[in-house]
Amino acid sequence: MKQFVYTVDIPGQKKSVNIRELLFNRYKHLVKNITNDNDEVIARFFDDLLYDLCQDDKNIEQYSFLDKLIILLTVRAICIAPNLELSVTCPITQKQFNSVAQISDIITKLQKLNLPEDIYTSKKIYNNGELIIELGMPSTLNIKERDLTIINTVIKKIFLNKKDITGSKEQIIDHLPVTVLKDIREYIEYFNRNLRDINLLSIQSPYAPLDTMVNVPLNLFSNSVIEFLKICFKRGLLSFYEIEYFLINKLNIDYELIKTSTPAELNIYINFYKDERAEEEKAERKNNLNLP
Amino acid sequence: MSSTNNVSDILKQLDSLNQSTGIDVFVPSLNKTVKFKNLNLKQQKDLLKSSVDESLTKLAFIVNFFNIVQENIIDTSVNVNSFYIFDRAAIALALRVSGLDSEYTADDVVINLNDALKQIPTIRVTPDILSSTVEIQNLSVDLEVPKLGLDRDISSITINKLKNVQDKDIKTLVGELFIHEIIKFIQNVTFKNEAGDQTVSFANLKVDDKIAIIEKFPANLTSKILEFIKAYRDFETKFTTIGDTSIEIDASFFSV
Repeated sequence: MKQFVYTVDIPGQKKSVNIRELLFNRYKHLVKNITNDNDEVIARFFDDLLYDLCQDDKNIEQYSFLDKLIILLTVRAICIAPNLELSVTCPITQKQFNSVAQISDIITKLQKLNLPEDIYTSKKIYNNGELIIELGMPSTLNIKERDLTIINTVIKKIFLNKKDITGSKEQIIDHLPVTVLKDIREYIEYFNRNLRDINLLSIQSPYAPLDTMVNVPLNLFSNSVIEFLKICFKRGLLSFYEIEYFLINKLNIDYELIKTSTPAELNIYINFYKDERAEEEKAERKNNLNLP
Repeated sequence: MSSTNNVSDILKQLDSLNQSTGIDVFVPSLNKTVKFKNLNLKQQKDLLKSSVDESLTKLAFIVNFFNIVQENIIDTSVNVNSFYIFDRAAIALALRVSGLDSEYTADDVVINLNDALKQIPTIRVTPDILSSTVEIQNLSVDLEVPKLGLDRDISSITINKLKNVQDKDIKTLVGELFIHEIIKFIQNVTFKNEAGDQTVSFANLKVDDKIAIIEKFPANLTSKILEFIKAYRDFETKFTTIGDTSIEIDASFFSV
């Protein structure tokens, strides 16, 4: 049976991708990793998740961090919940307040950034075209600017004597002339210049003047992307066990069904139960009132 | 074609591309231009990694850079072991300008490294700079500016000996580095006595034996050796000075 998929447009690839559902069990493992708080492991988990959820796209590892972010936020909105509830600290008064953001608004914003075309693909030509290298946005969700792995992640395609040798990238990258590095550095500076003023979220503090915003920048090199994803997917680990306990013991739902449902679907069962209980309590109260 | 063959074929093509884009480097000790391949990404990464290892950075750079010189020389008739240590600055400058950037910033002053490259052929290399003999009483020491190979060998041994010395043990570290630096310059030691002269060639000795010998030198002989080394260092500085700005040739020089 073909699995249910939903789609999202990603600007870097200029196409829509089919995404499978994030199931409860997988989400529990993601939250365990987020609770463990090792950014490298979490970024790898997100990459594995993307690979599994977007199986039609074989080279998803090479997609830009922006495309990956859009896909992951879509997964969050569809399979977990469409809104993001935040507890924010006012930067002026240090008072805490709650705020709710619609994830679809963030996705739309990221899809319509109108970045220059050469941010997505920038072609560099060496030795009269014998070597051509295409640079593009970093693919990793968690990277440091001075990290040497950035070289591998911004090199998207390599052509040598008109032949596409990108498939052997990992083995040959070290043998590329160092002049490539100069172009990579310039590309990263250009990339930073274009993205530095973009915010994933801007929240107005109710306790401060109108222009006092709490911003979550779209800055790949300051950890803000991975931190934002952690916020989007984080929840108390205990709540997973409570849900499992509740669904199995109170609703007699088979564990197989729990495993193969999305968290959003399981919420529907829980809401059905809550509505049912509310109706029952209402009827009980009514019966009690009718007693002689 | 298997993927292994495919990759090795690609590497060969890349190597020939790197050869065809070779650069001319004026090597002062040979007083001629020699063709070198540009740095590749791996060499650049290795240089940057060696700049992170703080206390022995300079020695790690010497070892690393010798390997680069050996790997990148295109003219196989030239023996890199015959290069002197001052040739390193000329090669490093040329590789940096060609592959990375000709601008260099030191103390907020930006200089064009092409100016340094232009002045290199004008610096005269005289025999008195390259070698000398110093004598005290019945001891005679032949001194020579180290070749790149010897510099690499001793630096490599020094790294292995000192890598476990804690950074905070600065006295030990400085003392050891100092003595290892001196032995690089000593060619022969001759003990003169009535029965005849006895010459010990340092080329045939282990590093620890060399150190054992020079530790026995009288202080005034060591001073004369240091005078020669200082005169050489002043000469070497000419390759890396533009006006009042001094260029530090180490791994960080390749971090742009």
